[in-house]
Amino acid sequence: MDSYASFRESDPDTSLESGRKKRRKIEAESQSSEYGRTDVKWRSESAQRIYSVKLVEALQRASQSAAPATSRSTGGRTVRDLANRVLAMAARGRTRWSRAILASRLRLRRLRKVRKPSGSCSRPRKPLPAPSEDRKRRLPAVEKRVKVLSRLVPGCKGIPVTNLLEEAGDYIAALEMQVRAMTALTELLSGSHSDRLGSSTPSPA
Amino acid sequence: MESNSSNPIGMDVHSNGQLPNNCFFNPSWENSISMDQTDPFESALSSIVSSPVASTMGPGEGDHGMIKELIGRLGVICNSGEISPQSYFEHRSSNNSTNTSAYTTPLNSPPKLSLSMMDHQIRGNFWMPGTQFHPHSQQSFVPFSTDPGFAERAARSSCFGVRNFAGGLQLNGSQRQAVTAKKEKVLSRDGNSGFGDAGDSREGSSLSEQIPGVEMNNMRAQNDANARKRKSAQRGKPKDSTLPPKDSEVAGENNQPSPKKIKSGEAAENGSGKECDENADKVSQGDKNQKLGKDSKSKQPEPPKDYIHVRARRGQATDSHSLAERVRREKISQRMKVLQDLVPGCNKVTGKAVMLDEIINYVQSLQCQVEFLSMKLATLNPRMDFNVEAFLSKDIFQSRGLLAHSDFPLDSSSAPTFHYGFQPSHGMISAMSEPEVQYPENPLNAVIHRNRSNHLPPIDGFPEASSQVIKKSSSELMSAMWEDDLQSVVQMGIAQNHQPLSFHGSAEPNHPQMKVKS
Repeated sequence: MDSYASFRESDPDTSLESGRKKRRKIEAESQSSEYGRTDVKWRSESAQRIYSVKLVEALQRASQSAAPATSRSTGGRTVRDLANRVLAMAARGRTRWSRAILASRLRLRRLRKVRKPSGSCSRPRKPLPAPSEDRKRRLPAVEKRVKVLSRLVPGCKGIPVTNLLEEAGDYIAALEMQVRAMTALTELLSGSHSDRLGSSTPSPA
Repeated sequence: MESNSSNPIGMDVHSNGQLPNNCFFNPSWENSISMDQTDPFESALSSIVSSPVASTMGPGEGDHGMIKELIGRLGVICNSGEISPQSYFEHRSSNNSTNTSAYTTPLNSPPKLSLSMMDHQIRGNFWMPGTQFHPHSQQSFVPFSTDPGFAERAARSSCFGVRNFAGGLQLNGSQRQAVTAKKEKVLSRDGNSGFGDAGDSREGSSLSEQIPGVEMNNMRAQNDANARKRKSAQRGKPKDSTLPPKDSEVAGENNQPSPKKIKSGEAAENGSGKECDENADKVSQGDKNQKLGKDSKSKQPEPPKDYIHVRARRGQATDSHSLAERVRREKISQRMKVLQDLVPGCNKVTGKAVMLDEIINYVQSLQCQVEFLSMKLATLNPRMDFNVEAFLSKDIFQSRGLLAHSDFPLDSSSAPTFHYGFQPSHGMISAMSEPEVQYPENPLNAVIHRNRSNHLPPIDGFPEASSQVIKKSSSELMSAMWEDDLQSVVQMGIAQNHQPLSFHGSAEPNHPQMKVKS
């Protein structure tokens, strides 16, 4: 970031800027292509459609498998977890967060089973050390935010900042695609639902 | 003296309308040039400057200085406008009746030839500044054609002149190349664009730097060269001492960017790592940046080879720890850049902390959106069976992008199901099942087959068939649309080989689709 900014600022010559900008763009593209390829992957139409199809299928199966009476299959949280899992599948296991999502369900189940017998005892927690000079040094603004970000992105708790940023980038792109797909899906479903309602029965109101 | 020589040139170049008197000739040249000869030069110069014509001037010794001045002029004149060959002849003939004959002959020849002749002459003349000119030097005043190529060549010749002028200078080959390359770049670009003002000023200034004014040039160039050499030596030393394996890379870079760095004041630009040496010379700043950009660009593919070659910045520590730290910081900044493009509204934000804040907010907002949409979908879920057909037909089967990928033969078992209601696309979709049939170990295949088997008998309801098709198509789409990696990922037999995907390996067939358990 700084390098590019300084690069641009340092050059007052306008006639060369176009060439330099092109070169910078190519550079940036070549660089970001290593990381940004995932971005392109998530932005493609086909990826979104594939995700939508899989999500629909998963939702159908969930609604079918679960007893119709129970609201478990159609719970919001269930749907969200389902959507996340489908998204993680769409990531093809290349990213840490996707693997963590897919593995988290299993871990949760295991933990639930393990915790049930020992539900009373709580995990002993280390008391947070009083902020000393060392802590102050270790709590710069950037570090704090890095921690928060690592909590947000699934499966990225103790990884180095570099990998965390990479995972965050991919995760953001995947989330964007997920939002797009689900929005389209809800629009379709709600649209058809309203159409059906409107056509079948006259609105009582 | 030097100031007198330099300023008028500078003024002349930039103003493009003033003609200083006796200013273009260095003291050494002035000695060789008689005063009366300067007068015709003055008039010639005035004529040159007033009308955008690069006319040739007086014969004899004056030619030498005039050549240089003309070359300097050419850049300016070409920038300002067209130069008609006729005007050349006129002026020449008016000024030097004796030389008209000499001029006419070169006139007839193609401009390039004359230019080459001129180049030779100029070079020869430049080689011995201050010496008497040979009579054949008259030919140097060749018709200056107006094409930009001529200016380019003139500049090139001036570059050669630089080399010869600064006899005291020890411009190494790379510097010379850098200079000439820079000039060519400048001129070619300007020639193509018609000599914009920026190029004009740049070229003018660069030409003024190199053109007549030997002593001035000598002094300045020497200082510059010394500065460059000092800098390169400085930069070379710590690097050579601490990073022996990186010498080749570093040294190679040293020679190229070092000539471009003259001012040491811009240490503030040490913000970058590899493209660090941005102490820009005003003259060659743009080109240097170009070259630096190219260097850094050319360097990009190199690091992945063995290890990252990092350029130690000026004034920075060069031990391995700090270098590794710098590499790490650069990686982080690169990824932050990628994130900056990803997160909307982060272009103006600078600084890691604020950027991270934005990223965190964006991720949280996206997750909230997903939750909200999932709640919405949950309420709409019961409608799905009814609407799935419409949904799929709208969203999937009508999309060209999806169908374009498939080109597989029909699967016999799936044929009847596909005939059921998806005529236009059944061929495509069923074709996708082919690759899955090849992988019997695929749990997905098992799923698909099971689905087929489960749903094949009750092929009576349209929704059921559609759902079956959907399941099959979705899985097929999933396998066909995605790259082969996906198949390898999902397949049980292969998935076990992948360490991070170990949980895929034990996926039970009971849970179709993606609910993988291990």
